[in-house]
Amino acid sequence: MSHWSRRDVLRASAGAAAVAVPIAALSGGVAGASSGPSAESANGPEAGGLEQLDAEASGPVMFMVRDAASGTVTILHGEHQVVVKDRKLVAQVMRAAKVNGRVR
Amino acid sequence: MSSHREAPEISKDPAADNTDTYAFRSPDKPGMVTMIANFNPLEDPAGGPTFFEFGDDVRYRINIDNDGDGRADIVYEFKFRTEVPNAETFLYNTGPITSLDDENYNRPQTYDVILKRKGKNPKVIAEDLRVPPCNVGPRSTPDYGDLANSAIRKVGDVRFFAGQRLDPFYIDLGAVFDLAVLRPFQNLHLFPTPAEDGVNALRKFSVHTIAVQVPISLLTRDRRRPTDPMNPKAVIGVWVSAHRQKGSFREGHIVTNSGPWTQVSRLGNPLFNELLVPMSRKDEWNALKPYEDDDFAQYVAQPELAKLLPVLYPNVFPNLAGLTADRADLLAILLTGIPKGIIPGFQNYTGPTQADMLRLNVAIPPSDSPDRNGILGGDLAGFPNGRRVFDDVATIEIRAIAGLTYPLVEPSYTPDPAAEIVTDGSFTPGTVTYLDKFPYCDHPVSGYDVLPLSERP
Repeated sequence: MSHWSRRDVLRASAGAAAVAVPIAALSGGVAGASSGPSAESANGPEAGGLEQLDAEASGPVMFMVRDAASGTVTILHGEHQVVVKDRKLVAQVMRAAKVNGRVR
Repeated sequence: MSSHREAPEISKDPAADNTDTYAFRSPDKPGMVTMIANFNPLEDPAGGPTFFEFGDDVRYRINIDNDGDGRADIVYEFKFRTEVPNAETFLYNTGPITSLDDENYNRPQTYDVILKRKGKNPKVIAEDLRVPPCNVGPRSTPDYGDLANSAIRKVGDVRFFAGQRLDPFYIDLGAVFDLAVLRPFQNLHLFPTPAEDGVNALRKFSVHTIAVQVPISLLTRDRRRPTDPMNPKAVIGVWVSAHRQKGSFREGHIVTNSGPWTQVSRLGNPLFNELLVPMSRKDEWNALKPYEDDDFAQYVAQPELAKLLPVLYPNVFPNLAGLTADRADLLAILLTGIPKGIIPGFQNYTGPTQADMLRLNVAIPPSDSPDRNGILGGDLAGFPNGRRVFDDVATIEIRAIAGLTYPLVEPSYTPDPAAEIVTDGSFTPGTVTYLDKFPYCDHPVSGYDVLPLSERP
């Protein structure tokens, strides 16, 4: 956990959101590396809020690495989600998850 | 049941389990549409000490599509908060609760309503509306009717109610799910039993209701109140959904949720997921939006129950056994609406997009003499033109699946005589009660007054 901080994750996810929103809008919201809420917001008001992830906002941050080899991490914060493709970040997460040399 | 515990995952999450959805022109206020979303299946009225309530961690939505694409154009979203004013007692109430802000009420819930219109920013249109307590008993919740009625609030032109209600739905669950036993043909079943009257398995049970009454002109595409039933703009699609946040993290008794709201339950037409969608896809269906339903049309076109009936009831449904064509009647009723030219003076067609929604033609006025069999009974104001609280949707859908509605699309087909008389059998006049005004679902039975299940009449 010493190699990265919560702020690093937030910064990465905020940067990804800024890039991913127009990509999601152009692709109909099914791009591989995109922001979850923006994918839904193109479909009308049943989707979540439209606000961008606020990197300085307080509150818990959750993330999920489903497939480490892909270098993709899903980050949840507030009522939003961003999907970031960042092999370095995922590698750091996986190193931090190791206990006695193994991922538990 | 209509959608009580209809899928494996949502059956473990009752606070988000949408049991029934209703949408109808209000009989006492014909310029308004009432939409009702019920949750928390099979609430036993005596279910204390932690009585039933809405989930603070659930977002409840009533969705309206007014342009036929199966996507919401208008959403009423409900967000609840629960407090515990007295942290030192185990009691739900520390004395009689005589008002919604009574200090004796130790589990008060309030809610906000957020209106989302396509192309506009979400807007909070009501804040801190109060939910009445559950009907505990004569000592805890005396004058329950007055107490509950005080929770009906009008904000602008829109009325709201959220709280415990008597379940308005009725069905013979024990029979239907015992290999499709139908009244009055038990003795003709492959595994026969003596013919007996039906049983409303939901009798005296409660649900948690969210009801909203909205002027018609706030729901239609052109913001007008149509008078011509043939006007395509007169039809709206309605469904309800419940949502939880994607991420959940447990530390001891503390649960932290985070991320966007993701759909865990939805319901348009009664019994769709329950009766048509195979078990292996029910959870998937609950997570999808109506505009994604075309992949499920196969289960409507060739409903499993229509194939089972002739097997389970030998020689009772011979014509249905020979009906192998896709069921264009059911596809219209459930997924696109009924086009004009099929039923004189009626249509609720929303276009080619196949989407499970209640389709309500708001130009059809409320009936002066409603028939609980809806359109099958000649009452154009009833199901499947929207759905009223008293409509006998189980019987209507069983008859439709048994072939009664197929002549609408193939006049040469003759339904089996059984299709015209088969019934779920659970409706007994007087055993299911309703209110004649908003929110139309009756007050719940109190926990103290409820009889043991085996002694309920």
